[in-house]
Amino acid sequence: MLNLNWNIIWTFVNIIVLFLLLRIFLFKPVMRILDKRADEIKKTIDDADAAKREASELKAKYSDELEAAGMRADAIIKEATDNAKVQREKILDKAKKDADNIIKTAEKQTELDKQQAMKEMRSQIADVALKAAHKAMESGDISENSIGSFLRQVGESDD
Amino acid sequence: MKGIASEMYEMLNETKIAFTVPIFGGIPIPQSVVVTWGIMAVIVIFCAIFTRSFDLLPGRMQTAIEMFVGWIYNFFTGILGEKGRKYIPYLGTVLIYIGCANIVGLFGLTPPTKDLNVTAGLAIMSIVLVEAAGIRAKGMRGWLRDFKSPMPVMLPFNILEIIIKPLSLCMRLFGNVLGAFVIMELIKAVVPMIVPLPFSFYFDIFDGLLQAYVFVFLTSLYISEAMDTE
Repeated sequence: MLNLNWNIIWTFVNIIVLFLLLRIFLFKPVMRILDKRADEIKKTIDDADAAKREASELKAKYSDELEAAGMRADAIIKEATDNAKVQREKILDKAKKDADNIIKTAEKQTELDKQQAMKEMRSQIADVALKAAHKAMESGDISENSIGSFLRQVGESDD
Repeated sequence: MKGIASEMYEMLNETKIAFTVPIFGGIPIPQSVVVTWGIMAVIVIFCAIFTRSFDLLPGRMQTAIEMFVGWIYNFFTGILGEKGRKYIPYLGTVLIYIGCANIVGLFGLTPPTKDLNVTAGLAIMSIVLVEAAGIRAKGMRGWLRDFKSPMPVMLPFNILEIIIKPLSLCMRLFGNVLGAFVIMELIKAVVPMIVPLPFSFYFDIFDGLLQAYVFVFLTSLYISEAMDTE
């Protein structure tokens, strides 16, 4: 084993053959699978990043929308409140006016009724007086007593 | 003791011939080559079986193999940088081969690294790789110019390095394995039972793997140095 001779060629051949075989059966498959796994992991991380970015974008969008909706709701409520106020004023005004009108009409009616009644009363009184005078003239008795009884008679018969 | 010495001297001097191929007047196949073939077959079959069922979700065996290969890549990338990635499969092959060759003594076989032809062959291949890496990285002119660096006076030493580097690689590995072998034979001659066991663990496993590591570590350092364009 101390001799150095042409058997050294065996070593060259053996090592080169072993190198070629190991490259085919060990290094290439292992590196291929390691690269593939690295790619896979990179892809997964990229996907996760993209999903996260998308989610945060969506979140921002939704929160914006939510805020806008809230603002719109506030505006709607304010508008409705304003409208209601205006409406109330209008209704109250109208009610007051109506009530005034009704009162005025009623007062006018009462006045008219009163005048009518007075007019009727006046004509009746004149009528009665006329009839009493007529009776008194017929009987010829124009004493106060007889005129009073005539008046009573006419008034009772007239009623 | 004289008996042991002459016996060991004889063992060291002979090239054990496993068998002779009966063509061209008989080609003798040394024992180290046969053991190397055995190691190669075991490694390649093992790899072929386990890398065939590789999947994105690894099993236990796949994880172990991936960790091992990943460790090899990390280790050599740390020394060579990204541009030396193409040399890693060769260095890994040598690491696995020397590691297995040194451990094979546990199974009662003679380690091929105890044959000077094997360690010398590995060392020569290493220096060829180192110089080829230098030429590839700097071009032929740059590679030749580097012999004069850092100053022209260094020219003879730089040329000598081409011989010294592989010689030291070869002799370090061979010397360690041979030394381990000699010490183990002596221990076995004195106490044949139980006592050799811890020594065997040290020399066959620890020192064997350490020498494999040192061999490829130095080779990669030389490659890194040769590729260094400053």
